[in-house]
Amino acid sequence: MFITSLGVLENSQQRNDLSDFFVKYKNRFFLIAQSKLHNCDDAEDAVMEMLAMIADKPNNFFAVAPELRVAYATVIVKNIANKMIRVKSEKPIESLDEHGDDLAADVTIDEVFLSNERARELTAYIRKMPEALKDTLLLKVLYGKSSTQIASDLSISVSAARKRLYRAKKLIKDFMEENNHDKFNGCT
Amino acid sequence: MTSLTDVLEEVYKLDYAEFDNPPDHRFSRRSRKRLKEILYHKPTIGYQRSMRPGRRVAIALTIIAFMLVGATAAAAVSGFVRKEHKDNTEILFAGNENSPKTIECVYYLPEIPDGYEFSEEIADKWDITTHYLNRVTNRKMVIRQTVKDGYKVHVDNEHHLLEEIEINGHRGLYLRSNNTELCSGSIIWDNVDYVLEISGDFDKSTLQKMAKSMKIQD
Repeated sequence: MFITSLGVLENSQQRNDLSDFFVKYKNRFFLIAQSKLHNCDDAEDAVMEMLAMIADKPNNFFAVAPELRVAYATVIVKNIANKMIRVKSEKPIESLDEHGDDLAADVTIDEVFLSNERARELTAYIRKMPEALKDTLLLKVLYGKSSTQIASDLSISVSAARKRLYRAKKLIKDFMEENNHDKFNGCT
Repeated sequence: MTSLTDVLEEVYKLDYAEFDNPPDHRFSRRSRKRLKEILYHKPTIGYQRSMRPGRRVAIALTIIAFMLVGATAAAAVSGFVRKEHKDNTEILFAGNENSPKTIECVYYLPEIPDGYEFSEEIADKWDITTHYLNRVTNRKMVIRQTVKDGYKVHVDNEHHLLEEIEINGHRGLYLRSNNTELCSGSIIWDNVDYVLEISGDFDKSTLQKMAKSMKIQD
């Protein structure tokens, strides 16, 4: 399942930056991968795969603000670890992508502003969401990624990325409506 | 008021708080080798080395074919053989028969430039790559020693200048980016036994001075 292509970093600055990034956070990424895989070799493979993915499409990574790169790489390495688990257990790639959501009725949650209390409630709610939806939402909202870019980062189809995004947004919208949020604009 | 972005940042922080102080983990040699492949496979200044016999034979045949045919797009420089491609220059080494097949003695830089300190070493029996970091400028200097057998460099000749130089009587190459915003340069030379390389944000004369000062560790 591993990417066979090797790095295509565009210049030595990118190479140095990525190398520094790896040195700084390798232990963190390894621990995250190991917490999923419970195997040192597999966890190392997941970290290397994450690095290979970044090196393969460096612009996706370097377009992210430096202070947000660790969270971005975390999403990728965790996703790779989850995929390795699914491959080993021969489970289907992602059952929640198979639901035929009507994407024509898209949901927008661009303008959400909450009081501190509501923000805490939403934080707790999002933390309980399925990881696949949470990661997609993170990539969309925190990094402004398009469905195509999310698909590329998570190695899923664009259609699956759209479906995950739709479901994540809908869950938030439903939560907000049920909890009579302070201000919520932009829902269609 | 709190935005959804703030909420998601908080979610991330809470979800991964347990990983904030990870214990030190030493990656296996296999992973360190893979790391080098990822970082240096197709950089503007980098290399690819395969130890597979088939690849070695292919490289050897390429060198022989090159020498026999005398292709117009190629030129031999001392131990270096340069092959010009459309968007890169391929550099191989000829005459490796008597050079060590593994690292038998280690070369080092006696005087590390001011501000730089040791950062990391990635080593196996064919290659030693040492990273130094200047914590003030956040710039990195890399020193690499590798066996000649199977060594191959692809240099992006569209965006880099290549100049032949001399290091202690041995011929080498000075490489620098055309991009004036990037000041990093490299010197790669063949000291008969090994291929040595110094890369960093230094001008040509400083890199040359460092290259000439490299010594064998006792």
